[in-house]
Amino acid sequence: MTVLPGFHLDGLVELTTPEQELALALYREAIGIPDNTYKFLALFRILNISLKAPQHQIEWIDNQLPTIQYPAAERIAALAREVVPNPYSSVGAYLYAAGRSALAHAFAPPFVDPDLMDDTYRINRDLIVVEELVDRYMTAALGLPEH
Amino acid sequence: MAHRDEWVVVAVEPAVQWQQGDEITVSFRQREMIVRPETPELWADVSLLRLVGEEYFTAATLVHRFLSAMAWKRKAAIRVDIPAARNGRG
Repeated sequence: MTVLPGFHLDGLVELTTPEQELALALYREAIGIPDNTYKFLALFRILNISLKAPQHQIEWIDNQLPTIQYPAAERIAALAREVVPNPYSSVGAYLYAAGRSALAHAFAPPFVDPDLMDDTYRINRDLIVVEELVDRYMTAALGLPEH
Repeated sequence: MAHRDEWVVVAVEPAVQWQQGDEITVSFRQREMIVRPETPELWADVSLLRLVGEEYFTAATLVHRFLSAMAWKRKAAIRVDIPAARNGRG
């Protein structure tokens, strides 16, 4: 059990646009998921609120990556060395295809097999990047206040 | 006095204890949310008195919006207990 010190209930976001409202709901759902693979997918879903096409999401992600700070930046740098340019054209393309899509689909590779340690360990390490991206998206793109 | 059925009470899974001590009332979107801490017997919950003619799901949705705003502000998981049919197994 975690007791949140000083859990002040004032200053909550009250007046929201429909997009902000949906983002807050998806965020609450996502961070409450104990399984990191589904948490990853649920967080990624938030980006789809306004970034409708896969390429829009990939481009937005790639534009944000250079400004993301440690510790997520460390994982981003590792991914840039390991998966770019082969087999993925960018870290954003990797996160979308080997993360988001691999978690959403099962009919053809790449997909995440929850029994494979390679898969779950990889997603666990990538999750910090997605968490940072979603924070950035909700504040910078949707205009919500920071935590 | 409000009839018991006029309240919406949303239980919150005890992953996070958001407060200690007595219940508090918080204004949210011009409504009053009653936030009660967990006890040895009960989960924490948020209660909202329904307006005349207000559907249960409408009021419950507003409580969920409140919880979502809270989850974002504190970057903290708040899991809601959603009732569902359970084949008589409680």
